[in-house]
Amino acid sequence: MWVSNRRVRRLALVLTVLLCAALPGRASQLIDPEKIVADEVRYKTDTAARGELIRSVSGSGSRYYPKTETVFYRGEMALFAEWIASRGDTVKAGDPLIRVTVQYDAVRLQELELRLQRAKEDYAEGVKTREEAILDMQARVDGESDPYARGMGQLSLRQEELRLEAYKLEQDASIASIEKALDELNERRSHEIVYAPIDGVVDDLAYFKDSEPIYDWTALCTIASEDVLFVAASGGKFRYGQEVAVEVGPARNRVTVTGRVVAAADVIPSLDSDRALILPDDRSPFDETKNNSIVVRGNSVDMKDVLLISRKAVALGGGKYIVTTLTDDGVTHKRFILAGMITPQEVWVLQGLQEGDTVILD
Amino acid sequence: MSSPTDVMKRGILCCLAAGLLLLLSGCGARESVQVPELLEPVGVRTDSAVVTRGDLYATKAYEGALTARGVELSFEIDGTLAHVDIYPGKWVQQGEVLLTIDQTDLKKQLDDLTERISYLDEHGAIEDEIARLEIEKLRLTLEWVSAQGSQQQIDLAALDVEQAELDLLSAQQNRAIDRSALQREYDELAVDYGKNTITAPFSGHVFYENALLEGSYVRAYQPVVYMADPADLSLIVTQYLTDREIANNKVYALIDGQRYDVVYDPLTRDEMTALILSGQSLTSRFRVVMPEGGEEAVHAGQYGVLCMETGLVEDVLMIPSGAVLASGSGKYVYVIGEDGERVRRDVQTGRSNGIDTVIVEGLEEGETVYVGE
Repeated sequence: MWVSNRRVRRLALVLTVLLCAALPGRASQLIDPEKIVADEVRYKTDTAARGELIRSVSGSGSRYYPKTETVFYRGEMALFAEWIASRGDTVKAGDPLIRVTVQYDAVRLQELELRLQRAKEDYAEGVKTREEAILDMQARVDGESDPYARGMGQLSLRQEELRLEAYKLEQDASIASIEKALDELNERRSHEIVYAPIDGVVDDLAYFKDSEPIYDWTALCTIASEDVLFVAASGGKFRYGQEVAVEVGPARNRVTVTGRVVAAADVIPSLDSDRALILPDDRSPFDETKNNSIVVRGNSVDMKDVLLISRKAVALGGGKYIVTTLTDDGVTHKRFILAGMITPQEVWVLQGLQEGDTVILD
Repeated sequence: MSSPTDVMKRGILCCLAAGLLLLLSGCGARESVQVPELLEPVGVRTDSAVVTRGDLYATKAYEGALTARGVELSFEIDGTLAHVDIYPGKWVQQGEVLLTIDQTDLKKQLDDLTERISYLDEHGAIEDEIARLEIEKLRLTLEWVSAQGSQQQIDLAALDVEQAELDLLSAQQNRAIDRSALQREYDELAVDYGKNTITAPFSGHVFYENALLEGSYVRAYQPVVYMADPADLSLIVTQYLTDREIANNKVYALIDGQRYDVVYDPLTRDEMTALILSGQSLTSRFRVVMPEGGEEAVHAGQYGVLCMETGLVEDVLMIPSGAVLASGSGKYVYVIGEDGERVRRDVQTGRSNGIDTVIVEGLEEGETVYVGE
């Protein structure tokens, strides 16, 4: 048994040796020559190219109707009677808004009217009396034969005529003064109905109890005209004259219109406000929906035709910006660049690269 | 003495070892395999640069925007506002009245004073005429008394005439004083009359901070409304640049992809004070020089950048700053010869813009230098 096992073992030995000798011959076929790669590093690269660098800002917006007029009561103290217009009513200029009962000094009015009447009567009577006196004097002077008396009479007559003129002047002034006072009093009485000064929608009605006193310059309501519509934006630091995009409407049906900023604080250096007014080019989306979800977007940075590379290509070292360029012959160069502006995606290169240069991304 | 099994095992192990050696050496290869072309190894070649001649400068960019000229408008007098016709964002024409102070009461006062002065003049003229007639009568009496009266009567009559004349003069003087007082009062009030409007100094947009209502009280010389003139644009740079920086360096603006010349327009002392007091940072202002017919290309609100070329030196030899090395004895570079050998050479350097360095001495144009990592 041991002899046959030895043969088997020898046979196995020979086969093993043969196998080991054959394997190297196939070794080369186990490795695909094409997969032999010697010292090649494949980089992700970017090419310096001229393009547009944009940074956007956005802010919330709301409708703003600037033509809003506050209606005041002007006149003598009055008592509230009733509101004729209601909140939300659309009114035209001249439509009545509110009725009040003007409290005026009736005694004063009567007194003035009486004074005026008496003044006029006294005036007429005074003129008549003086004129009659002048006529009498005239007759006496004409009948006077003594030259001295005649001379004196003529002078006195002329004096009386002048005194009549003076009397008329005084009385005219007095009557005018009374009439003026009466006119003022009547003018204040006429404000028992307050009318709308402009077309628009009534808002901010003041509340008054029945017969509550209302004084001069009391604000009654506001009237907002929808003739002019702006979008009031905040939070975006928009600039006067800037072109913006305004989104309005419900989430599933947003509409975007362009517009321009017509009022902003940047023109006055001492003003520090982030509010701006935008005039939309098309106001119909704002009229069609009263949904107040309005977003205003604009470009805070907008540079055209500048040399750009990917942000990933730029590293910071020793306070300087460094890129690694890759030439056509496969050589890398570490170079400094001067950067103008850096965004999370791009870098504007001021100096250090040319258009078409390849840079390696980190 | 080893067992046959042990001997067998040793033999197998030897054979396996031999086979392994053969495998590794590939001696059994029967086919000829083409040696793959080795790829040129990247980065093994020395980074180098050629000494060039040119202008050296560093470009800095400062953010800004085209901003319309803004003005603050105020009244010259105190008062309450009359009806307000403007609203924020409204476009107004030059000369258009923006706001008016209610001067109804002032007008009444002036009219009243005018009437009083007029009455004084008219009534005074009549009174004077009456007085002259009285004097005339007294003269007539004097004549008559002189013909037939006693001396005492004549003297008395003469005194009456004199007294009457003095009375007339006194009345006229008193009236002149009264008239003068009324006129002075009128003149003082009239100074403010008519100064109750703010008109648009140019065509532009109007806006204001606080609500302007009819009846609001406004103070003289306090801004109540602002206007922006879109035809008068400046590039406002968010960083303050000194006069010296601007004077010593070349500046230009980049707006919407175009390059524009600019002229420095320094902030006034008042403007700087207003900025500081409002808690804002100082800025720099430049006027953009528009090419003929190019005014339409720009508008207020556009983003712009002010570029400044600093440290300009012209027509100098330069190499990348990475090629300049330093030691205790000074600066040096490695010049790469035609044979590829690197030779150290001392150099004298000048200005650097962070990218390139000026070579004052030590290199010639066209030479190649080694650029280190």
